[in-house]
Amino acid sequence: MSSEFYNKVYKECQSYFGNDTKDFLDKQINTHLLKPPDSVEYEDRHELAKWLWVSSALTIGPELARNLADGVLAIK
Amino acid sequence: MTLSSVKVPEEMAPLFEQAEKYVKDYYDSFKSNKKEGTITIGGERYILVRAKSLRVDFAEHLGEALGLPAKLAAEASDNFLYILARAIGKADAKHFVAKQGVTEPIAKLAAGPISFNYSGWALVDIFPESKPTPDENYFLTYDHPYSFEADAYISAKGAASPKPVCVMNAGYSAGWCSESFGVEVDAREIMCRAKGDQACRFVMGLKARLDEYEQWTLKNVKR
Repeated sequence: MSSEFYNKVYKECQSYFGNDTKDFLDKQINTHLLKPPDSVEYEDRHELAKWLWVSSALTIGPELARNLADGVLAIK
Repeated sequence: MTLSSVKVPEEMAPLFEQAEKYVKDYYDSFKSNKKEGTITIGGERYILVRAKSLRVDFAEHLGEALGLPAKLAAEASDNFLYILARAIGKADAKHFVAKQGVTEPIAKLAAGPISFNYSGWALVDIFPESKPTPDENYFLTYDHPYSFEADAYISAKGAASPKPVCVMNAGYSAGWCSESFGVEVDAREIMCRAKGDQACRFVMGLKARLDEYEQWTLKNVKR
């Protein structure tokens, strides 16, 4: 079962990645945080936001990537 | 003298003939020093890179490194390679212009396609429909026969790409022309041998006008 934090991050990513969101987000967590997606936690937000920014900049552009990372960092 | 390393509209030929002589002499200075592991041309260090490693395998490695699904990995690597090639094209243009001492935009442009040929990227065939002017109306349409990217892709995967693959060809030419004309232009490949088309065809202009140029070229430029 996905964590509450995962669901909030998913929602942030969805407007940028649409149907590819789950594939994108799960790979980001697996590859860069080295943990299963359902175990991602609020404490991971800085590391996750950094990689979301790096990895998405080449696909959605640097401005939107920054917005995405800021959105994740703003999650309460 | 007849141009042998580039195809251009007749009115551009004289400036390209001058550039061809210069570029030929430049590349004739190629030196490979096996004791040092160095290659120099015109006193500048160069490197050789296997085309397939750069254009085909890189996408998979970038995807793995960034944790991207295959579709996004391909898009990311295309964007990365376009940006990289555009930056190299710009820097190379600046280098050649300084060495040649030319000032006219077309004269600055001229060494680009020829150097492109000599360094193994592709042949360049600029169509007479082109109107390269140093303003917002800048328009270039051209083919890159023997594009190294299309050849590398076809060699690895066959001519079955779902989209054009010659992003470095597009980027390098856009970078060179941006530097030559003092206008920030971009290039887009609109036909590609790697997806089964008969040619690798490009349009170049302001980014905001590329859709218009693509439609016009597909409708009006027949070769």
